[in-house]
Amino acid sequence: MTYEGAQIRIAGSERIAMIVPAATGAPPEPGQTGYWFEIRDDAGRVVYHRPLHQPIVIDAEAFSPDPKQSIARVPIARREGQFTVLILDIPDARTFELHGPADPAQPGLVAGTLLSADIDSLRRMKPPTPPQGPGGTKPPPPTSSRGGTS
Amino acid sequence: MSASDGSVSGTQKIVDHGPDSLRYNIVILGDGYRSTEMAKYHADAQAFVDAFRATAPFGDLWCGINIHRVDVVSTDSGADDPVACGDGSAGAGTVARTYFDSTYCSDNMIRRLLACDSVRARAVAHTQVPATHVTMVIVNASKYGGSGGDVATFSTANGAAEIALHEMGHTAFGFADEYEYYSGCGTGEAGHDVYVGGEPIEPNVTCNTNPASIKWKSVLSAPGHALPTTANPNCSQCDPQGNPQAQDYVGAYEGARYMHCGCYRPSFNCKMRELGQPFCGACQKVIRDALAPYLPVAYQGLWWNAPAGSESGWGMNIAHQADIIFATWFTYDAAGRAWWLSMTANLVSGGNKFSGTLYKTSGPPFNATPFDPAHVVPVAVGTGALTFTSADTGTFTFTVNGITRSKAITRQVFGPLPTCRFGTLAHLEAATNYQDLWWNDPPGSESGWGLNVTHQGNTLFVTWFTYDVDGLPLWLSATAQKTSAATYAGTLYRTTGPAFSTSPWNPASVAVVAIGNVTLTFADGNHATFAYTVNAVSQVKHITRQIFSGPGTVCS
Repeated sequence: MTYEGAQIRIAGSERIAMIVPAATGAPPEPGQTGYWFEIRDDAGRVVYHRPLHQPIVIDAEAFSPDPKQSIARVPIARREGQFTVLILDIPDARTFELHGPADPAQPGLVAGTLLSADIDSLRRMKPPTPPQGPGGTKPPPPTSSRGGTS
Repeated sequence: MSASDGSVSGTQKIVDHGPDSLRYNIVILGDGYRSTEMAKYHADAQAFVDAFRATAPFGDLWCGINIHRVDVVSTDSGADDPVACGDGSAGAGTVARTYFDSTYCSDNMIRRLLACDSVRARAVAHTQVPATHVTMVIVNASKYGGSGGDVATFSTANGAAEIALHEMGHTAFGFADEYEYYSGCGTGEAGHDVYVGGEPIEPNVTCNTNPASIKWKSVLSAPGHALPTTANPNCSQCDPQGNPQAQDYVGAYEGARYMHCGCYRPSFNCKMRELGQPFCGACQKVIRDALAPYLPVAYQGLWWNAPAGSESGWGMNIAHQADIIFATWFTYDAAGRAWWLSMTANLVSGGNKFSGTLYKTSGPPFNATPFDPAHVVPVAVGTGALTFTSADTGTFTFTVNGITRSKAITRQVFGPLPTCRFGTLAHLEAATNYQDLWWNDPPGSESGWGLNVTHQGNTLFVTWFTYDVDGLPLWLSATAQKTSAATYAGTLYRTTGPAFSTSPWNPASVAVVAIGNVTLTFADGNHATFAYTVNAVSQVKHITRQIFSGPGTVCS
């Protein structure tokens, strides 16, 4: 997925034979803050969800070897970037929803739906174009057919 | 300073627990390593792997994780280090032509902000390992630095790997930062006094202090205690008070997610609050739960020749913890006498191939009091290899005293077959299935004998490997039925049969003689008494599970 300011779009999708991490915790509820994504079935039930930490970057962590204050945050000017979401691809999956604050600069806002996509349309999408460059070796082929889509 | 400044030379799976499609895959990339520095890169990658495994709970989840090292050669060594930076620091002015273009002061503000071209790094990782879950870049530069985001980047400076582990908490598990400031305590920062808003989605921060509904209620150290554990008396600043509880106490501490008040973290400290700290109990629970689908079935249990029953009379008990199998092969010597050999077999590759040395052991008689482990003498007699083709089938190949045989093996089924997994239960006392290798309690006090328990339904099959009155190996077996809630009892048998090397091996030649009885009474999932009578000799032993790779394996 790519973003520029608050505008998010799906740059591409690829089916990969892999297992996604288990959903942990209770399904998200209205009124919560932060970023997360959900997969919903035909009946609108959440069948998979995962929290995301600041997919739209508004600041960065600066680290220090000083154990007393090893981490601090600094705002950054850049307002465009990419992030990857690993979602569950099961027959019941119908809709992908990304939730978060409408204004990335105000992370305390109650999360709303930032983007919604039909899973079938994601299945038909092509992978994002990788950066061009020399070198590299050919990837090994996937080894099984268990589902995951990134 | 781009991909024209190097090449990808190959990928090595340096931690291999099976197919990538079934495991959690971490991909390590290197930047700023010239072709002559590949050995250093390999050592740096291994150092990170060691640090990662030592970070709880990843060691417990080890069998579910693959780690791939992508060898990336850069034209130049190191990273860019511009002279000027927004924080006023002075850099060396280095310009290094590297594949992922890593640079300090990457946003022109903070020197320690070391970042790379994360889009390119992610693409290379995905090309090399399509099933990548986490991507990390080690930068061959000695100055402390790193950064997060879709790709964790860190230098080779001492302690910088902690940055990658912290960032993995964000990217892989969605953890929030648990520190209670933005720029830093004492900076006079505004806008970070009191959190006002809905419940945060992240699993390790909350504004709910109700112990009955707090999101990490299952790991609270004192579920009946009121929360919060600490409250910040002055919300205009970070809470200066110390931790009133033990270091690993899980409660609700005020101050988290960049706010001095109104938002709570599980423990006083955590890797998501301060580098160098362990992940708190709540974070560890989330990690365990998230990675549970990747844990393979352990081969722990009782195996015998395949097809089932074809060579009834000999078998192999397997205790499987992390990458190690301890196998006890109960069979017969050349004279047909009960004989057992043991093997510590280490993982060779793919999560399913193990090999080791087979030992014949002599020791004090089973009824010796006290049993002195100093008199136990193992002697190497050959080698063994176990190759599993599924959770329930495999091959046992051995060479003993110059004789080589290969046997197809399968699990012995006499009831509902449990599923065993390593690392799923931190406290073995809570286990309700007793299938494991047990030995005298306290651990190591009578090292040399043991009890293999196979537990299916209400039946235990017990093989006791010990020593006869002449000190030679002896094994006895019993099928023990459940007689009360935690007690199992049965008849002990001594068996004779065809020598281990006989081919074909005829089960009709196996003879069984009852010589006593056994009762196992379990106090909990990790403690029991083993009471036996053999030839009018009676003893009661306290036993516990033998853990050779914590936290052990449990079946359910």
